[in-house]
Amino acid sequence: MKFTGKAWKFGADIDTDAIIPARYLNTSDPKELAQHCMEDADPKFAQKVSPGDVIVADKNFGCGSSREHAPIALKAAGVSCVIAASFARIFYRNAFNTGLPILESEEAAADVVTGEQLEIDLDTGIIINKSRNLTYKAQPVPPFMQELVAGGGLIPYVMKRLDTSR
Amino acid sequence: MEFAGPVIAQLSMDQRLTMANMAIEAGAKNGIIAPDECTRAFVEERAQRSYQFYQSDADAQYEQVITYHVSEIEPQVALPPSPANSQPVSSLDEIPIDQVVIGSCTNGRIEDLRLAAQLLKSRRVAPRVRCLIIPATQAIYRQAVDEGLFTIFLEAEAAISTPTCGPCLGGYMGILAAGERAVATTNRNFVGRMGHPESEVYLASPAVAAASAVLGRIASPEEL
Repeated sequence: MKFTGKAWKFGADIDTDAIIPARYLNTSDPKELAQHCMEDADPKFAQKVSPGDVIVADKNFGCGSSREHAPIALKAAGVSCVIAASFARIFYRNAFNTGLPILESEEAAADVVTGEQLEIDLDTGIIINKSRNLTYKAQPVPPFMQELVAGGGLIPYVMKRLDTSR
Repeated sequence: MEFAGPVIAQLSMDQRLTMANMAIEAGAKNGIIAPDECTRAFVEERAQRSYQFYQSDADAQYEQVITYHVSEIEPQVALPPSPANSQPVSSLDEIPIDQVVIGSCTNGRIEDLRLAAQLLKSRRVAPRVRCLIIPATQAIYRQAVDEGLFTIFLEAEAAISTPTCGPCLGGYMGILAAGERAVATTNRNFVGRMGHPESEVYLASPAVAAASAVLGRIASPEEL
C-alpha cells in the first residue's frame, strides 16, 4: 500500500483535543468532524489540507482522550497517513481500528518540513522525501494491520471475516 | 506501569484509583498496584462473581524502575497545556482563577469530597470564582449527602452537580470562556480542554483545588 502527498509538520504531544476539540463531539459524522480537524493546533488546517496529504509530528502524537473521533476526523479530512516519532498507544490502536494508517519514524519526524512531497510504502516502511531525494525508515506495517486499513477499519474487517466464515 | 512501596501499601483504594487513573497521562497502558488486604476488602464488598488476584512475577523484567522519596514532594500543580508540566504549588506566582472543578473519575471519590469539605467548612468560595463539586458516581453522591458534605459545600457557596464528565472535556456546564482559568482535579489540561482554546486548566489535588476556590487564586491548603 502506497501513498503520496504533501507534508504538514506538527510538534510533540499533539493531543486528541487538538486533533478534534470536544466542542465538536456532538456529532460522529466524519464530514462534520473533518471541518474542525487539528483546529486547536492549526485553526486553518481543515481548509489548507488536500486529499492525500500526510501529517508528520514529533513524539507522543494522539495523547489524551481515547476518542476515536480523532483518527476519523483526520481520515475524513483527507489525511492519507500520519508519521510521528511516537504515538500514544490508544490513538495508535484507534487509528488502525478506524482504517487510518500511521507510521513511526524518528528520522522523518526530525527532518521533514511542511510542504515537502512524501511517498510512503506501508509494506516496507520506506518513506521517500521527493522534495529533497531523501529516504527515511519506519517500522513496516504488518500484513494483518494493513488488511485492517485496506478494509476500512476493524468493524468492516470483522464483518467481512464473519461473512466468509459462514 | 506498576506502583509499589511502603507509601503505596498504605494508600486507600480511593487514592490508588487516582494514581491508576493518571498513569494513562504518563503514557502507560495501565496503572497497577499489587492486590493486598485493602484490595480484597474493596472487591469483597462489590464482586458479584468469583475472582482471582494476580501478582507480578518475582522474576519480572521491568523496563525502568524509578524511586521517589515522596515525603520530599509538596502538592503539585500541572500547568497548561500538559499534565506533565507539574510544579510545586509554592513555586507558582499569584495566579487568579475563575473556576474550580472538584470531582470527576480522577478525584471524585468520597475521600476526595471529604478532603474538600474539610477545607471548605466554615469558609466561602471567593466571590469571583465558580466552584463546581462533582461526585464521581451516584453511590458517592448519596454517601456525600448522608455524611452531610453537601451542607458544607452549599454553605461555602459551591455548586453541586450530578455525576458527569461535563466540564472535564468542555462538554457542558462550567465551559470556560476566552481568557478564563480553572483549577481542576480532572486529568487533562490540553489547549481548549475545558472550553475556549484561549482558556487555561491547572490540574491539582482536591486539597489544592479547595484552597484555591477560597482564596481565588492557585493556593496551597497550608495558606488557609
